[in-house]
Amino acid sequence: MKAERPKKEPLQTSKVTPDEVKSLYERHGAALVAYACSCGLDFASAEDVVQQVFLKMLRAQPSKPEVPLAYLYRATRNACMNFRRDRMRETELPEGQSWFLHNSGNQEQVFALQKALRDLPEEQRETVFLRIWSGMTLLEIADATETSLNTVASRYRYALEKLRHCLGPNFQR
Amino acid sequence: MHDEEVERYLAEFKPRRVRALEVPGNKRVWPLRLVAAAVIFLVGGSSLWYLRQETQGVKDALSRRHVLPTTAKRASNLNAIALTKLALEDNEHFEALLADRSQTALPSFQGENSTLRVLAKE
Repeated sequence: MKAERPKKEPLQTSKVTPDEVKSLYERHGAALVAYACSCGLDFASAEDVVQQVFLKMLRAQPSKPEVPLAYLYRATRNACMNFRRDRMRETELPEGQSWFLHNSGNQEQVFALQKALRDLPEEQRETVFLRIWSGMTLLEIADATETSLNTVASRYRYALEKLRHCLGPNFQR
Repeated sequence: MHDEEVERYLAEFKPRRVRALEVPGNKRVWPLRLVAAAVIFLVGGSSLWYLRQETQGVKDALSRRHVLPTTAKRASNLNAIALTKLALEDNEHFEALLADRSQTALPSFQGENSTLRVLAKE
């Protein structure tokens, strides 16, 4: 893993504009829905939850977080937890739904990945999503989650190890 | 397998597309609101205009009622030329005048050119 040059973005105090919110949704909405699915929601509920998170951001227009994406992941995670708590009795873990698509169209690999992601501890899963599907650097993740870079790097490394272990057979293409 | 390989493999997966952000009160609603406002404005405006017209008509009718008798009284002293002029210029007042005079004056029966004689000749 390459060492990343520390860079500290200036603290922004302006409000999040509606256009910025829409742009964030267009770029990261799909990854956030997949993340919500990995937290145990079915695809439709995950879409609803993520929409609610964005709409809340749109309505409230809070002061711009230092890393809006990390804020959105955290808000989505909390919303998923609330959703599951509220509907604990009626919600079962969805089976047979895909929230990822593979280049080759291989559904087996998709289901294997989804299961492997679900089995990861929460912090590791969040780190993998932020790094792989939202394109953040480990340093940005550390800043956003207010965690040390070493901790984030460890979480990421452990997550990759587990994924490699779970997805092992699928690599033999 | 190294971390980079796992990362590359994971990058082969793309999150499924999601529906567009459904913002309440988005652009689609505004034209409807605009149309509704325009319709309300038009209906309200035309109602007001109609009421105003009606009120004006009643006012005119009332003022005519008040004016006619006085005009008729004033015109009762007019000579034949003035009466002809009034008949040509303001037929309504002339009619009112005739109606008024018919209640107080009888046609001449004995004059050379009395109405009865003229009618008898015809």
